This record gives sequence, C-alpha cells and structure tokens, in this order.
Amino acid sequence: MTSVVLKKVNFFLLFYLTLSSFAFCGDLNFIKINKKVNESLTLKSLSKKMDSTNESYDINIKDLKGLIILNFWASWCGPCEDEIKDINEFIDLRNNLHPDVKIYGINIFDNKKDALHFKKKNPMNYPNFYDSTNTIPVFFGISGVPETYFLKDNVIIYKYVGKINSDDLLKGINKAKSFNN
Amino acid sequence: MIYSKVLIKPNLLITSLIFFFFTIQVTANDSSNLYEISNELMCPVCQGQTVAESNSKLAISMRDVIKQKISEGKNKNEILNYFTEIYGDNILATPPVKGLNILLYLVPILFLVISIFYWYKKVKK
Repeated sequence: MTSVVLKKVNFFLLFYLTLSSFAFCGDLNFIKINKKVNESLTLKSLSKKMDSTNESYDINIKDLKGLIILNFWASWCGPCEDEIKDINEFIDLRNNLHPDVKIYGINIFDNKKDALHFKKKNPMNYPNFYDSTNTIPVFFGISGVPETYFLKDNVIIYKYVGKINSDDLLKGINKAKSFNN
Repeated sequence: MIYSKVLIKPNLLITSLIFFFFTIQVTANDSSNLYEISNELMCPVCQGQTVAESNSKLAISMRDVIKQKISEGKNKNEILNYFTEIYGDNILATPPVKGLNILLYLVPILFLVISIFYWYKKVKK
C-alpha cells in the first residue's frame, strides 16, 4: 500500500519537475524575430520645444546603425512606469560595459500631452520619441506595452515582452551581439 | 462676350459636378475598402472581434496602416499579405485551407456525418 502511494507521489513529482524544467530551460520573455527594417519609420522627438539636448530631433528607425534597443511604452501603462528605474540603472551600466549600444524610448498608443506629463513625472535618462503616424506598432508586431526590441544593423533580432530590468537588458545585448543571420 | 459668359458657366457647373461626384466616389471606395479589408483581419488583442469592429489601440493602429497602404495604391491582397507576414495566418478572419487549418473545415463536416449516422441507427432501432 505504502509503495503504491510512494509510486504515485514519485510520478507527480517527476511530472512537476519536467514541467518546471520547461519553464526554466529558456528565457520565455525573449522572442526571436529576425526581421529587416525595410520601410521608412519616422519618430518624432518627445519634447515640448526645440532645445539644446539630444532629444530635439526626429529619427528614422531605418537609419539607426549598430546595436539599438527600443523600449515601447505608454503613459497609461503601470509596468512601463515601474521599469524606468531599471532602464536608468542600465544606462549607468551601459556607459561602462557597452558604450556602443544606444537605447531609445518610444511612446505609442498614447497622446503627446499625456506622454510629456508622464515623462516629466518619471525622468528618463535616454532619448524619447513618439509615433505620430500610429503605424509603428503594426510593423513591429506589438501586442501591448511595455515591449523592448533589440536591433542590430537594421535587423530586429529579439523582442522582450513585459517589464524589463537591467539584467535582462544586458542579457538581450549579449544575445543580440552573438546573433548571426 | 455674353455668349462666352453663358457658355463658361454651364461648363463650370458641369466640371464642378463631375469633380464633386468623382470625389464622393473615390472617398466612398476608400472607406468601403478600409471596412472590407479591416473586416477580414482579426484584432490580435481582442476576443473574436475583427479590426473593423474593435476599438482597441492596436486595432486603431491597424486601421491607420490599412488607410496608409490604400493611399499608397496597394490592393487588398497586398495589404492582407503585409499583415500575415507580421502576425501569421491567424490574423485572417477566414483562415486559408492549408496545413492544420484543414481541420477547421473538416471537423464540423465529420461531426455532422457522425451525428446523422448515430441518429439513423437510433431511429432504425
């Protein structure tokens, strides 16, 4: 009788361990994309007026070279607010470990007034832009915010779904750097 | 002089009318195309709603992309292909009959045949 119970417990334990190993065997938040940015995607600088900071210009994602991180956010999104502290932390790390990597915040699914208010409330130590055409999310296949994309030489390599921290940002950089087409 | 004035006015009127109807026609075609195409795409973040029916932020963005593609002169198939390249075949309201999708079309028929067979056997008894 006892042996039967033990066998059953062993079976469930094995089943549970197998399932958990699936959860830990990969970075579930990282999704491989491998898509070239082949169309013009213009972003407008998220600032009230032209000033001397590096945020007072518009960019075209197609023109961005090297390793780029794009963090998509919205003012109404709670996790987006939570991750800013981690991204700011990452900026300090990046300056020492990966000075060649650039990171941009991109406001989507929002209006400029709310985005500016959010930015004022939560200072971000990296350039921020907004999608004035409301077409960028579709090109990237975004389903919600926050989402973070890792691009290398105009190719979208990985996306990270959900709130990101500095460890995952560093992990994403290493994954993108070691990626070969 | 008077003759030319009289002649110009009807011409102007006719031209304006043609232009007016042409504009209405083009606008109507564009908006009907927008509805037709967006009704063939499922909203990826909604439950059972097409892009035409949904008011989610992503569906609004998808409608803006469709409008942009129509203004660029892209046809319906090109626009639908653009979306399937990004989101896969699941984005289509009517999935293509290929691969595992065949089951979507075969299973209801199979159930119907089994039901008729079962009903026939029961009635015969």
